[in-house]
Amino acid sequence: MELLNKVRSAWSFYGKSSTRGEAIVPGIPRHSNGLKELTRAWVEASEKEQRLRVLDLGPTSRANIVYITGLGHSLFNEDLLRAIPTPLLQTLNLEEQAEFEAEKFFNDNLKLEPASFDAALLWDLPDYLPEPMVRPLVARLELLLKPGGGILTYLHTRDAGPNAPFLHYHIQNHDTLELRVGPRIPLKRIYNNRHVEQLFHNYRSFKFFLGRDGLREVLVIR
Amino acid sequence: MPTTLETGRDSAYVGISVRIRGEIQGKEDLFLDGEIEGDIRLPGQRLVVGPNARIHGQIQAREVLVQGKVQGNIRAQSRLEIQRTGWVEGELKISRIAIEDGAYFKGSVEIAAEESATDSASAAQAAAAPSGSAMPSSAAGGAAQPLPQTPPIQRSWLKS
Repeated sequence: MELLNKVRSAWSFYGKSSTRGEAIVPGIPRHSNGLKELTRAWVEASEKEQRLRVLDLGPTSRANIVYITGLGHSLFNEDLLRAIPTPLLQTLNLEEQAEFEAEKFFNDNLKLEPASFDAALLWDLPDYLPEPMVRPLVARLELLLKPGGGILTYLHTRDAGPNAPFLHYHIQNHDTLELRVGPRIPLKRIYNNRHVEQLFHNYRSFKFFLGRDGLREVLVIR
Repeated sequence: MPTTLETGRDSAYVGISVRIRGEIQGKEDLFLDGEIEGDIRLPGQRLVVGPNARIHGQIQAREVLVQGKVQGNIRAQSRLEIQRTGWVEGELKISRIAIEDGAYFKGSVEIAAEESATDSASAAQAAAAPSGSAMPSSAAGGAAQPLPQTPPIQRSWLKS
C-alpha cells in the first residue's frame, strides 16, 4: 500500500493536472514482474535479431518508445482513452455508459492488420473504459495479436479504493516502470481473478502477479 | 514571422494564413505555420511544423520539429521531435525521436539508421507509399468482425 499512498498523496497535492496531460510530479518507480516476463521475450528476440511489433494503448510515452525501439522492435501507439468522449469517461452511471457505441468506435479506432502484433500493453485501461467497450476491446486485441502474443495489463484490486488515480506507465528498464499520475478519471470497476479469466476466456493462459500497491499485474497469452 | 532564434537558423517561412494544395520540395530549411494538403520533401533540411500548422501529407526531411498537427507518415533522416502542442497521426521512420509529455501520437514508430541526404530519394518514395498498417477493408469494420460472445462480468462496484 506504500506505493499507492505515495501516488495518492502526489495526486492530492498536484491534483490540478489538466484533463489532457500529466501532473507535474516526479514519477514513482515500481518493480513489475509482468513487465520482466514480457521484456525477457523481447530481449531474447532482439538477440536473435527478430523484430517484434508492440502495441501500446496508453498515452504517448517517450520512455516506452525509446525502450522498445532501442531493442530493435517497432511500436504502434494509440491512446484509446483520448478517443473516448470525456463525459463517458467521467461517468459512473451505467445508463450513460451504455450510450457508448463500441461498434462505431472500433470502426474508427484500432483498425490494424490482424495478427500483426507480438505484444500489447493494455496498462490499466480495462478499469476505466465505458462498460460496453471492454469486451469488444479484448476481442479486437485477440484479432490483432499473433498466436502466442502477450497482453500486459494492470488491474486494480479492491484495496485501490474508488479514488485510485489514473496512472501513466513509462518503461524505465526490463523490470521497472515509472508511474505518473494522469488526468482525473474515475475507476469504473475492479476485477478479481475469476473476472479476468472470464474476460479473456478465449486466450490461452494467464499469469497473475499481485502487488502490494493495489494493482494486480496480469500477463495474458493469446 | 519566426526569428532565426526560434527556428534555429534562417528558414523559408509559410505563414498562418497560407493554404497550399500540392507538393512542397526544397533545399532549405522551412518553418511552416499554414495549412498544407500534400507531401513535403526537404531532403537534408530541417522542417518546423509550427503551432498553427495543419499538414495532411507525407513528410520527408533531415530533422522535423512538430508543434502543430500532422496527419501522414514522417521520415526524418536524423531526428523527430514532437513538442507538447504537437499532434501526429501516421507512421514514423526515424533515427531518433523526442516526444514531450502532452504530445499526441497515434501510429507506428520504426527506428532506422541515420541516413545521408543522398539516400533521400528512395526515402521520399517510401514515405509517400500508402500505409501498410491499415486493416484490410474486409476486416476493418467492427460490424464485419463479429465479436466473440463472452459471459457477463460479475461487476464489483467500489464502495467509497
